[in-house]
Amino acid sequence: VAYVDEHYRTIADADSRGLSGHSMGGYGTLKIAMKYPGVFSSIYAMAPCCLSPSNFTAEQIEQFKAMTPEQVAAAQGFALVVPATLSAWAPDPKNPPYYVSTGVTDGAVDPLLLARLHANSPLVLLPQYLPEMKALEAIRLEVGDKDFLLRDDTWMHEELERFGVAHEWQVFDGDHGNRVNARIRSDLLPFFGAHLDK
Amino acid sequence: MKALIATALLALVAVPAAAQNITAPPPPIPEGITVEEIKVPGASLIGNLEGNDVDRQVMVVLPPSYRTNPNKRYPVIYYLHGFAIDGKNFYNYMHVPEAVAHNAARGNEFIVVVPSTLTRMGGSMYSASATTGDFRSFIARDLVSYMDSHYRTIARRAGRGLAGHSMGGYGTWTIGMIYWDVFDALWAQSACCISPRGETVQSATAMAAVPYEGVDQSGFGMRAGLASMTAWSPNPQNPPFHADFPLKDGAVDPLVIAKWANNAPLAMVASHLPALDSFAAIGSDVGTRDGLIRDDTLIHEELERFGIEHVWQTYDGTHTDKIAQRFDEVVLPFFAEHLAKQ
Repeated sequence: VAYVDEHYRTIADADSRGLSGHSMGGYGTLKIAMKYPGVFSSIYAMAPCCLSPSNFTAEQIEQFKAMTPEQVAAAQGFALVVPATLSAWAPDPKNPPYYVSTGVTDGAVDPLLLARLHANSPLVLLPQYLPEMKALEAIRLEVGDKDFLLRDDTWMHEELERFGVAHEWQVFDGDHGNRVNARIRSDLLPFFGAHLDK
Repeated sequence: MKALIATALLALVAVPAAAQNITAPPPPIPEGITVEEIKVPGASLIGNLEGNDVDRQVMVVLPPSYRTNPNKRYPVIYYLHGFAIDGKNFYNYMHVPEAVAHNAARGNEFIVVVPSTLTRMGGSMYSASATTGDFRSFIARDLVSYMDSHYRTIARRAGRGLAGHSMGGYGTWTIGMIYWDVFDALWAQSACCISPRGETVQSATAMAAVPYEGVDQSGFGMRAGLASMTAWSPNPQNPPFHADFPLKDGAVDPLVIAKWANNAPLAMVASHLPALDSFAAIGSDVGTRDGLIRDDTLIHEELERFGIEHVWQTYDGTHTDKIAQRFDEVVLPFFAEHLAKQ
Protein backbone atom coordinates (compact mmCIF):
# COMPACT_ATOMS: atom_id res chain seq x y z
CA VAL A 1 0.00 0.00 0.00
CA ALA A 2 2.79 2.42 0.92
CA TYR A 3 4.58 1.71 -2.34
CA VAL A 4 1.51 2.22 -4.49
CA ASP A 5 0.55 5.42 -2.67
CA GLU A 6 4.05 6.75 -3.15
CA HIS A 7 4.48 5.84 -6.83
CA TYR A 8 1.00 6.41 -8.28
CA ARG A 9 -1.62 9.14 -8.04
CA THR A 10 -3.80 7.21 -5.61
CA ILE A 11 -6.41 8.64 -3.27
CA ALA A 12 -4.22 7.72 -0.35
CA ASP A 13 -6.94 7.14 2.19
CA ALA A 14 -8.76 4.09 3.59
CA ASP A 15 -12.07 5.45 2.28
CA SER A 16 -10.71 4.98 -1.23
CA ARG A 17 -9.05 1.58 -0.77
CA GLY A 18 -10.74 -1.74 -1.45
CA LEU A 19 -9.39 -5.23 -0.82
CA SER A 20 -10.48 -8.27 -2.76
CA GLY A 21 -9.30 -11.70 -3.77
CA HIS A 22 -10.31 -15.14 -4.97
CA SER A 23 -9.92 -18.45 -3.14
CA MET A 24 -6.68 -18.11 -1.11
CA GLY A 25 -6.98 -14.41 -1.99
CA GLY A 26 -10.48 -14.38 -0.54
CA TYR A 27 -9.03 -15.87 2.62
CA GLY A 28 -6.38 -13.14 2.63
CA THR A 29 -9.05 -10.50 2.09
CA LEU A 30 -10.94 -11.51 5.22
CA LYS A 31 -7.88 -12.04 7.36
CA ILE A 32 -6.00 -8.88 6.37
CA ALA A 33 -9.18 -6.86 6.90
CA MET A 34 -9.34 -8.20 10.45
CA LYS A 35 -5.68 -7.67 11.25
CA TYR A 36 -5.07 -4.31 9.55
CA PRO A 37 -8.07 -2.12 10.34
CA GLY A 38 -7.98 1.39 8.94
CA VAL A 39 -6.16 0.47 5.72
CA PHE A 40 -9.13 -0.65 3.58
CA SER A 41 -12.75 0.46 3.90
CA SER A 42 -14.59 -2.13 1.80
CA ILE A 43 -13.77 -5.75 1.07
CA TYR A 44 -14.98 -8.32 -1.45
CA ALA A 45 -14.17 -12.00 -0.82
CA MET A 46 -14.70 -14.28 -3.84
CA ALA A 47 -15.06 -17.94 -2.96
CA PRO A 48 -12.64 -17.65 -0.02
CA CYS A 49 -10.83 -20.81 0.97
CA CYS A 50 -9.42 -22.01 4.26
CA LEU A 51 -12.12 -20.54 6.50
CA SER A 52 -12.62 -23.43 8.91
CA PRO A 53 -9.75 -24.69 11.07
CA SER A 54 -7.25 -26.79 9.12
CA ASN A 55 -6.36 -30.19 10.50
CA PHE A 56 -3.70 -32.55 9.24
CA THR A 57 -3.42 -36.18 10.19
CA ALA A 58 -0.20 -37.74 11.43
CA GLU A 59 -0.20 -39.67 8.15
CA GLN A 60 -0.25 -36.46 6.08
CA ILE A 61 2.62 -35.01 8.09
CA GLU A 62 4.63 -38.21 7.75
CA GLN A 63 3.99 -38.27 3.99
CA PHE A 64 5.30 -34.73 3.70
CA LYS A 65 8.36 -35.53 5.82
CA ALA A 66 9.10 -38.48 3.56
CA MET A 67 9.20 -36.29 0.43
CA THR A 68 12.63 -35.40 -0.93
CA PRO A 69 13.40 -31.73 -1.71
CA GLU A 70 13.23 -32.72 -5.40
CA GLN A 71 9.75 -34.15 -4.93
CA VAL A 72 8.60 -31.03 -3.11
CA ALA A 73 10.09 -28.83 -5.84
CA ALA A 74 8.26 -30.84 -8.51
CA ALA A 75 4.94 -31.01 -6.65
CA GLN A 76 2.01 -28.98 -7.95
CA GLY A 77 -1.38 -27.76 -6.82
CA PHE A 78 -2.98 -29.59 -3.94
CA ALA A 79 0.12 -31.72 -3.37
CA LEU A 80 1.61 -28.55 -1.88
CA VAL A 81 -1.22 -27.81 0.54
CA VAL A 82 0.52 -29.45 3.51
CA PRO A 83 3.93 -27.77 3.08
CA ALA A 84 2.43 -24.41 2.11
CA THR A 85 0.05 -24.42 5.04
CA LEU A 86 2.74 -25.45 7.50
CA SER A 87 5.21 -22.87 6.29
CA ALA A 88 2.61 -20.09 6.50
CA TRP A 89 0.96 -21.02 9.78
CA ALA A 90 3.27 -23.36 11.66
CA PRO A 91 6.78 -22.07 10.99
CA ASP A 92 9.67 -23.40 13.04
CA PRO A 93 13.01 -21.66 12.43
CA LYS A 94 14.78 -24.50 14.23
CA ASN A 95 13.49 -27.40 12.16
CA PRO A 96 15.34 -27.62 8.81
CA PRO A 97 15.13 -28.20 5.90
CA TYR A 98 11.65 -26.67 5.50
CA TYR A 99 11.61 -24.82 8.82
CA VAL A 100 8.06 -25.84 9.64
CA SER A 101 6.54 -27.76 12.54
CA THR A 102 6.34 -31.45 11.76
CA GLY A 103 5.85 -32.84 15.24
CA VAL A 104 4.25 -36.26 15.48
CA THR A 105 4.46 -38.22 18.74
CA ASP A 106 3.13 -41.76 19.10
CA GLY A 107 0.98 -41.36 16.00
CA ALA A 108 -0.55 -38.07 17.17
CA VAL A 109 0.13 -34.64 15.65
CA ASP A 110 1.71 -32.14 18.07
CA PRO A 111 -1.30 -30.25 19.53
CA LEU A 112 0.64 -26.98 19.31
CA LEU A 113 1.09 -27.50 15.56
CA LEU A 114 -2.68 -27.84 15.20
CA ALA A 115 -3.32 -24.88 17.48
CA ARG A 116 -1.05 -22.74 15.30
CA LEU A 117 -3.10 -23.73 12.26
CA HIS A 118 -6.37 -23.01 14.05
CA ALA A 119 -5.15 -19.56 15.05
CA ASN A 120 -5.20 -18.64 11.35
CA SER A 121 -8.77 -19.68 10.58
CA PRO A 122 -11.14 -16.76 9.80
CA LEU A 123 -14.08 -18.65 11.33
CA VAL A 124 -12.03 -18.90 14.50
CA LEU A 125 -10.70 -15.34 14.33
CA LEU A 126 -14.04 -13.62 13.67
CA PRO A 127 -15.37 -13.30 17.25
CA GLN A 128 -12.06 -11.67 18.23
CA TYR A 129 -12.21 -9.09 15.45
CA LEU A 130 -15.79 -7.82 15.51
CA PRO A 131 -14.91 -4.13 15.96
CA GLU A 132 -12.56 -4.29 12.95
CA MET A 133 -15.16 -6.03 10.76
CA LYS A 134 -18.03 -3.79 11.89
CA ALA A 135 -15.96 -0.70 11.09
CA LEU A 136 -15.82 -1.59 7.38
CA GLU A 137 -18.16 0.33 5.08
CA ALA A 138 -19.13 -2.77 3.10
CA ILE A 139 -18.38 -6.49 3.02
CA ARG A 140 -19.25 -8.82 0.17
CA LEU A 141 -18.98 -12.60 0.40
CA GLU A 142 -19.86 -14.84 -2.52
CA VAL A 143 -19.44 -18.39 -3.77
CA GLY A 144 -20.74 -20.60 -6.59
CA ASP A 145 -23.44 -23.15 -5.83
CA LYS A 146 -21.25 -25.89 -7.32
CA ASP A 147 -18.07 -24.76 -5.58
CA PHE A 148 -16.51 -27.24 -3.14
CA LEU A 149 -16.16 -24.29 -0.79
CA LEU A 150 -19.93 -23.68 -0.61
CA ARG A 151 -20.21 -25.28 2.83
CA ASP A 152 -17.33 -23.32 4.39
CA ASP A 153 -18.35 -20.02 2.83
CA THR A 154 -21.97 -20.48 3.90
CA TRP A 155 -20.68 -21.16 7.39
CA MET A 156 -18.75 -17.86 7.35
CA HIS A 157 -21.88 -16.03 6.19
CA GLU A 158 -23.82 -17.59 9.08
CA GLU A 159 -21.13 -16.60 11.57
CA LEU A 160 -21.13 -13.01 10.30
CA GLU A 161 -24.90 -12.96 10.77
CA ARG A 162 -24.71 -14.48 14.22
CA PHE A 163 -22.36 -11.74 15.37
CA GLY A 164 -24.32 -8.98 13.65
CA VAL A 165 -21.68 -8.05 11.06
CA ALA A 166 -23.56 -6.48 8.13
CA HIS A 167 -22.54 -7.97 4.78
CA GLU A 168 -23.80 -8.88 1.33
CA TRP A 169 -23.96 -12.60 0.66
CA GLN A 170 -24.52 -14.18 -2.72
CA VAL A 171 -24.57 -17.73 -4.02
CA PHE A 172 -24.38 -17.72 -7.83
CA ASP A 173 -24.67 -20.39 -10.48
CA GLY A 174 -21.09 -21.59 -10.93
CA ASP A 175 -18.11 -23.54 -9.68
CA HIS A 176 -14.83 -22.47 -8.08
CA GLY A 177 -13.39 -20.80 -11.16
CA ASN A 178 -15.71 -20.55 -14.14
CA ARG A 179 -17.37 -17.22 -13.25
CA VAL A 180 -14.55 -15.33 -11.59
CA ASN A 181 -13.55 -13.42 -14.68
CA ALA A 182 -17.12 -12.36 -15.52
CA ARG A 183 -18.00 -11.43 -11.97
CA ILE A 184 -15.06 -9.06 -11.63
CA ARG A 185 -16.78 -6.92 -14.26
CA SER A 186 -20.42 -7.50 -13.36
CA ASP A 187 -20.16 -7.36 -9.58
CA LEU A 188 -16.75 -6.68 -8.06
CA LEU A 189 -15.84 -3.40 -9.73
CA PRO A 190 -19.40 -1.99 -9.44
CA PHE A 191 -19.32 -2.92 -5.72
CA PHE A 192 -16.18 -0.85 -5.20
CA GLY A 193 -17.63 1.85 -7.45
CA ALA A 194 -20.53 2.14 -5.05
CA HIS A 195 -18.51 2.11 -1.84
CA LEU A 196 -15.13 3.79 -2.37
CA ASP A 197 -14.76 7.57 -2.23
CA LYS A 198 -13.90 9.14 -5.54
CA MET B 1 -5.66 -25.09 33.55
CA LYS B 2 -5.39 -27.99 36.01
CA ALA B 3 -2.19 -26.41 37.19
CA LEU B 4 -3.97 -23.12 37.63
CA ILE B 5 -6.56 -24.76 39.86
CA ALA B 6 -3.95 -26.42 42.00
CA THR B 7 -1.82 -23.34 42.45
CA ALA B 8 -4.72 -21.00 43.03
CA LEU B 9 -5.67 -23.04 46.07
CA LEU B 10 -2.29 -22.19 47.51
CA ALA B 11 -3.24 -18.53 47.69
CA LEU B 12 -2.38 -17.29 51.15
CA VAL B 13 -5.27 -14.88 51.29
CA ALA B 14 -8.77 -15.29 52.64
CA VAL B 15 -11.48 -16.66 50.35
CA PRO B 16 -14.93 -15.73 51.62
CA ALA B 17 -17.51 -18.47 51.05
CA ALA B 18 -20.21 -16.34 49.45
CA ALA B 19 -18.45 -14.29 46.77
CA GLN B 20 -15.73 -16.82 45.92
CA ASN B 21 -13.38 -13.94 45.26
CA ILE B 22 -10.01 -13.36 46.87
CA THR B 23 -9.61 -10.42 49.27
CA ALA B 24 -6.66 -8.84 51.06
CA PRO B 25 -6.43 -6.10 53.72
CA PRO B 26 -5.54 -2.53 52.67
CA PRO B 27 -1.79 -1.97 52.31
CA PRO B 28 0.37 0.59 54.09
CA ILE B 29 0.66 3.86 52.16
CA PRO B 30 4.14 5.37 52.65
CA GLU B 31 4.51 9.11 53.13
CA GLY B 32 4.51 11.03 49.86
CA ILE B 33 2.58 8.41 47.90
CA THR B 34 -0.85 9.43 46.60
CA VAL B 35 -3.51 6.81 45.90
CA GLU B 36 -6.62 7.67 43.93
CA GLU B 37 -9.56 5.31 43.46
CA ILE B 38 -11.34 6.33 40.27
CA LYS B 39 -13.96 5.07 37.81
CA VAL B 40 -12.98 4.87 34.15
CA PRO B 41 -15.73 4.66 31.51
CA GLY B 42 -15.25 1.70 29.20
CA ALA B 43 -16.64 2.50 25.77
CA SER B 44 -15.31 -0.88 24.63
CA LEU B 45 -17.52 -2.67 27.16
CA ILE B 46 -20.83 -1.12 26.13
CA GLY B 47 -23.41 -3.74 25.20
CA ASN B 48 -21.64 -6.73 26.76
CA LEU B 49 -24.11 -9.57 27.26
CA GLU B 50 -23.10 -10.52 30.81
CA GLY B 51 -24.20 -7.17 32.20
CA ASN B 52 -20.67 -6.40 33.40
CA ASP B 53 -20.10 -2.84 34.63
CA VAL B 54 -19.10 -0.49 31.83
CA ASP B 55 -17.53 1.96 34.31
CA ARG B 56 -14.55 0.21 35.92
CA GLN B 57 -12.90 0.76 39.29
CA VAL B 58 -9.23 1.70 38.85
CA MET B 59 -6.53 2.25 41.49
CA VAL B 60 -3.98 4.91 40.55
CA VAL B 61 -0.77 5.18 42.56
CA LEU B 62 1.20 8.40 42.08
CA PRO B 63 4.91 8.77 42.96
CA PRO B 64 6.23 11.24 45.59
CA SER B 65 7.21 14.09 43.26
CA TYR B 66 3.86 14.06 41.40
CA ARG B 67 2.48 16.70 43.82
CA THR B 68 5.64 18.71 44.35
CA ASN B 69 6.81 18.89 40.74
CA PRO B 70 3.73 19.95 38.74
CA ASN B 71 5.48 19.97 35.36
CA LYS B 72 7.02 16.52 35.46
CA ARG B 73 5.60 13.65 33.43
CA TYR B 74 5.91 9.98 34.38
CA PRO B 75 6.07 6.56 32.77
CA VAL B 76 2.98 4.46 33.53
CA ILE B 77 2.84 0.78 34.44
CA TYR B 78 -0.50 -0.88 33.76
CA TYR B 79 -0.78 -3.80 36.18
CA LEU B 80 -3.36 -6.54 35.57
CA HIS B 81 -4.87 -8.74 38.30
CA GLY B 82 -5.64 -12.46 38.14
CA PHE B 83 -8.80 -14.55 38.26
CA ALA B 84 -11.36 -14.34 41.09
CA ILE B 85 -10.01 -11.09 42.52
CA ASP B 86 -10.75 -7.45 41.75
CA GLY B 87 -8.29 -4.68 41.04
CA LYS B 88 -8.44 -3.12 44.49
CA ASN B 89 -7.77 -6.38 46.35
CA PHE B 90 -4.93 -7.16 43.97
CA TYR B 91 -3.50 -3.70 44.63
CA ASN B 92 -3.87 -4.46 48.36
CA TYR B 93 -2.17 -7.84 48.09
CA MET B 94 0.68 -6.52 45.96
CA HIS B 95 1.41 -3.60 48.32
CA VAL B 96 1.64 -1.37 45.27
CA PRO B 97 2.12 1.92 47.22
CA GLU B 98 5.22 0.53 48.94
CA ALA B 99 6.60 -0.80 45.66
CA VAL B 100 6.18 2.66 44.09
CA ALA B 101 7.83 4.31 47.13
CA HIS B 102 10.79 1.89 47.15
CA ASN B 103 11.41 2.41 43.44
CA ALA B 104 11.12 6.18 43.82
CA ALA B 105 13.77 5.99 46.54
CA ARG B 106 15.99 4.17 43.99
CA GLY B 107 15.44 7.08 41.61
CA ASN B 108 12.72 5.48 39.47
CA GLU B 109 9.35 7.16 39.63
CA PHE B 110 6.29 5.56 38.04
CA ILE B 111 2.55 5.91 37.99
CA VAL B 112 1.10 2.43 38.58
CA VAL B 113 -2.45 1.79 37.41
CA VAL B 114 -4.45 -1.25 38.55
CA PRO B 115 -7.78 -1.66 36.73
CA SER B 116 -10.50 -4.01 37.91
CA THR B 117 -11.84 -6.44 35.34
CA LEU B 118 -13.76 -8.75 37.67
CA THR B 119 -16.81 -10.03 35.77
CA ARG B 120 -19.92 -12.07 36.45
CA MET B 121 -17.89 -15.21 35.65
CA GLY B 122 -14.97 -14.23 37.92
CA GLY B 123 -12.62 -12.67 35.39
CA SER B 124 -12.49 -10.98 32.01
CA MET B 125 -9.65 -13.11 30.60
CA TYR B 126 -8.66 -9.73 29.06
CA SER B 127 -10.21 -10.91 25.81
CA ALA B 128 -12.32 -9.39 23.05
CA SER B 129 -15.71 -11.01 23.61
CA ALA B 130 -19.17 -9.82 22.60
CA THR B 131 -20.41 -11.61 25.72
CA THR B 132 -17.86 -10.62 28.39
CA GLY B 133 -16.97 -7.27 26.83
CA ASP B 134 -13.91 -6.21 24.85
CA PHE B 135 -11.54 -5.94 27.80
CA ARG B 136 -8.47 -5.98 25.55
CA SER B 137 -9.61 -2.74 23.99
CA PHE B 138 -10.73 -1.40 27.39
CA ILE B 139 -7.16 -1.74 28.70
CA ALA B 140 -5.25 -0.69 25.58
CA ARG B 141 -7.60 2.05 24.38
CA ASP B 142 -10.13 3.32 26.95
CA LEU B 143 -7.91 3.12 30.04
CA VAL B 144 -4.72 4.34 28.36
CA SER B 145 -6.44 7.34 26.77
CA TYR B 146 -8.17 8.14 30.08
CA MET B 147 -4.84 8.11 31.92
CA ASP B 148 -3.15 10.19 29.23
CA SER B 149 -5.87 12.82 29.36
CA HIS B 150 -6.28 12.97 33.17
CA TYR B 151 -2.73 12.52 34.51
CA ARG B 152 0.74 13.80 33.65
CA THR B 153 1.82 10.66 31.83
CA ILE B 154 4.53 10.20 29.22
CA ALA B 155 1.80 9.80 26.63
CA ARG B 156 3.57 7.67 24.06
CA ARG B 157 4.56 4.07 23.60
CA ALA B 158 8.01 4.50 25.13
CA GLY B 159 6.42 5.64 28.38
CA ARG B 160 4.06 2.69 28.89
CA GLY B 161 4.67 -0.74 30.42
CA LEU B 162 2.22 -3.62 30.80
CA ALA B 163 2.46 -6.27 33.51
CA GLY B 164 0.20 -8.70 35.28
CA HIS B 165 -0.04 -11.81 37.40
CA SER B 166 -1.66 -15.17 36.52
CA MET B 167 -4.73 -14.27 34.35
CA GLY B 168 -3.15 -10.79 34.28
CA GLY B 169 0.09 -12.36 33.00
CA TYR B 170 -1.97 -14.02 30.30
CA GLY B 171 -3.53 -10.62 29.50
CA THR B 172 -0.05 -9.10 29.33
CA TRP B 173 0.92 -11.56 26.60
CA THR B 174 -2.28 -11.27 24.55
CA ILE B 175 -2.83 -7.51 24.86
CA GLY B 176 0.87 -7.05 24.20
CA MET B 177 0.74 -9.04 20.97
CA ILE B 178 -2.48 -7.49 19.69
CA TYR B 179 -1.98 -3.89 20.85
CA TRP B 180 1.79 -3.96 20.43
CA ASP B 181 1.98 -0.29 19.46
CA VAL B 182 0.56 0.92 22.79
CA PHE B 183 3.08 -0.51 25.28
CA ASP B 184 6.86 -0.65 24.93
CA ALA B 185 7.75 -3.24 27.56
CA LEU B 186 5.97 -6.30 28.98
CA TRP B 187 6.44 -8.42 32.09
CA ALA B 188 4.25 -11.49 32.78
CA GLN B 189 4.34 -12.89 36.32
CA SER B 190 3.23 -16.54 36.68
CA ALA B 191 1.08 -16.25 33.56
CA CYS B 192 -1.81 -18.67 33.24
CA CYS B 193 -3.59 -20.07 30.21
CA ILE B 194 -0.52 -20.18 27.97
CA SER B 195 -1.29 -23.54 26.30
CA PRO B 196 -4.45 -24.16 24.30
CA ARG B 197 -7.22 -25.38 26.57
CA GLY B 198 -8.65 -28.79 25.72
CA GLU B 199 -11.71 -30.65 26.94
CA THR B 200 -12.97 -34.22 27.05
CA VAL B 201 -16.59 -35.23 26.54
CA GLN B 202 -16.76 -35.75 30.28
CA SER B 203 -15.33 -32.35 31.25
CA ALA B 204 -17.39 -30.59 28.59
CA THR B 205 -20.54 -32.30 29.83
CA ALA B 206 -19.78 -31.14 33.37
CA MET B 207 -19.41 -27.55 32.12
CA ALA B 208 -22.72 -27.71 30.30
CA ALA B 209 -24.43 -28.93 33.49
CA VAL B 210 -23.62 -25.80 35.53
CA PRO B 211 -26.72 -23.59 35.90
CA TYR B 212 -26.19 -19.92 35.01
CA GLU B 213 -27.17 -18.84 38.52
CA GLY B 214 -24.84 -21.46 40.01
CA VAL B 215 -21.53 -20.29 38.49
CA ASP B 216 -20.38 -18.59 41.73
CA GLN B 217 -20.72 -21.87 43.63
CA SER B 218 -19.21 -24.10 40.94
CA GLY B 219 -15.64 -23.92 42.27
CA PHE B 220 -12.53 -22.06 41.09
CA GLY B 221 -11.60 -24.38 38.24
CA MET B 222 -15.08 -24.71 36.81
CA ARG B 223 -15.64 -20.98 37.09
CA ALA B 224 -12.35 -20.32 35.30
CA GLY B 225 -13.43 -22.71 32.54
CA LEU B 226 -16.78 -20.97 32.13
CA ALA B 227 -15.09 -17.56 32.14
CA SER B 228 -12.73 -18.78 29.43
CA MET B 229 -15.70 -20.02 27.43
CA THR B 230 -17.65 -16.75 27.56
CA ALA B 231 -14.43 -14.88 26.71
CA TRP B 232 -13.27 -17.11 23.85
CA SER B 233 -16.32 -18.73 22.27
CA PRO B 234 -19.02 -16.10 22.65
CA ASN B 235 -22.35 -16.69 20.93
CA PRO B 236 -24.85 -13.84 21.26
CA GLN B 237 -27.61 -16.23 20.21
CA ASN B 238 -27.11 -18.88 22.88
CA PRO B 239 -28.50 -17.59 26.20
CA PRO B 240 -28.12 -17.60 29.15
CA PHE B 241 -24.30 -17.93 28.92
CA HIS B 242 -24.28 -16.35 25.44
CA ALA B 243 -21.45 -18.69 24.54
CA ASP B 244 -20.83 -21.96 22.76
CA PHE B 245 -20.09 -24.87 25.05
CA PRO B 246 -17.32 -27.18 23.83
CA LEU B 247 -19.86 -29.98 23.37
CA LYS B 248 -21.94 -30.63 20.26
CA ASP B 249 -23.98 -33.75 19.41
CA GLY B 250 -22.25 -35.73 22.14
CA ALA B 251 -18.71 -34.94 20.97
CA VAL B 252 -16.16 -32.21 21.74
CA ASP B 253 -16.83 -29.37 19.24
CA PRO B 254 -13.56 -28.77 17.34
CA LEU B 255 -14.52 -25.23 16.27
CA VAL B 256 -14.98 -24.17 19.88
CA ILE B 257 -11.65 -25.74 20.86
CA ALA B 258 -10.05 -23.97 17.89
CA LYS B 259 -11.51 -20.62 19.01
CA TRP B 260 -10.01 -21.20 22.42
CA ALA B 261 -6.64 -22.13 20.90
CA ASN B 262 -6.71 -18.86 19.00
CA ASN B 263 -6.64 -17.15 22.40
CA ALA B 264 -3.69 -19.17 23.69
CA PRO B 265 -0.46 -17.14 23.79
CA LEU B 266 1.55 -20.24 22.85
CA ALA B 267 -0.47 -20.60 19.64
CA MET B 268 -0.34 -16.85 18.96
CA VAL B 269 3.45 -16.38 19.04
CA ALA B 270 4.12 -17.75 15.54
CA SER B 271 1.63 -15.34 13.94
CA HIS B 272 2.63 -12.25 15.98
CA LEU B 273 6.40 -12.17 15.48
CA PRO B 274 6.67 -8.59 14.17
CA ALA B 275 4.65 -7.41 17.17
CA LEU B 276 6.83 -9.33 19.63
CA ASP B 277 9.99 -8.11 17.92
CA SER B 278 8.94 -4.49 18.29
CA PHE B 279 9.16 -4.24 22.09
CA ALA B 280 11.98 -2.49 23.92
CA ALA B 281 11.95 -5.45 26.31
CA ILE B 282 9.92 -8.48 27.35
CA GLY B 283 10.20 -10.36 30.63
CA SER B 284 8.53 -13.31 32.29
CA ASP B 285 8.97 -15.16 35.57
CA VAL B 286 7.43 -17.99 37.57
CA GLY B 287 8.08 -19.77 40.87
CA THR B 288 9.63 -23.23 40.77
CA ARG B 289 6.84 -24.47 43.06
CA ASP B 290 4.11 -23.03 40.83
CA GLY B 291 2.25 -25.60 38.71
CA LEU B 292 2.29 -23.06 35.89
CA ILE B 293 6.06 -23.42 35.50
CA ARG B 294 5.53 -25.98 32.74
CA ASP B 295 3.34 -23.67 30.66
CA ASP B 296 5.47 -20.62 31.32
CA THR B 297 8.58 -22.56 30.30
CA LEU B 298 6.83 -23.49 27.05
CA ILE B 299 6.29 -19.87 26.01
CA HIS B 300 9.87 -19.04 26.96
CA GLU B 301 11.01 -21.87 24.65
CA GLU B 302 8.65 -20.73 21.91
CA LEU B 303 10.07 -17.17 22.06
CA GLU B 304 13.58 -18.63 21.90
CA ARG B 305 12.64 -20.76 18.90
CA PHE B 306 11.66 -17.63 17.00
CA GLY B 307 14.57 -15.55 18.24
CA ILE B 308 12.46 -13.11 20.28
CA GLU B 309 14.73 -11.55 22.89
CA HIS B 310 13.35 -11.74 26.39
CA VAL B 311 14.27 -12.06 30.05
CA TRP B 312 13.23 -15.34 31.68
CA GLN B 313 13.56 -16.00 35.39
CA THR B 314 12.49 -18.76 37.74
CA TYR B 315 12.72 -18.38 41.51
CA ASP B 316 12.04 -20.40 44.64
CA GLY B 317 8.37 -19.70 45.21
CA THR B 318 4.72 -20.62 44.68
CA HIS B 319 2.00 -19.01 42.55
CA THR B 320 1.56 -16.23 45.09
CA ASP B 321 4.13 -16.09 47.92
CA LYS B 322 6.84 -13.93 46.27
CA ILE B 323 4.91 -11.98 43.66
CA ALA B 324 4.53 -8.74 45.62
CA GLN B 325 8.21 -8.71 46.51
CA ARG B 326 9.17 -9.43 42.90
CA PHE B 327 6.92 -6.65 41.59
CA ASP B 328 8.88 -4.27 43.81
CA GLU B 329 12.38 -5.69 43.30
CA VAL B 330 12.34 -7.13 39.77
CA VAL B 331 9.38 -5.95 37.69
CA LEU B 332 9.46 -2.20 38.38
CA PRO B 333 13.28 -2.02 38.11
CA PHE B 334 12.98 -3.84 34.74
CA PHE B 335 10.59 -1.16 33.51
CA ALA B 336 12.89 1.55 34.89
CA GLU B 337 15.63 0.18 32.69
CA HIS B 338 13.55 0.05 29.52
CA LEU B 339 10.95 2.84 29.58
CA ALA B 340 11.46 6.51 28.83
CA LYS B 341 11.79 8.76 31.86
CA GLN B 342 10.74 11.99 30.22
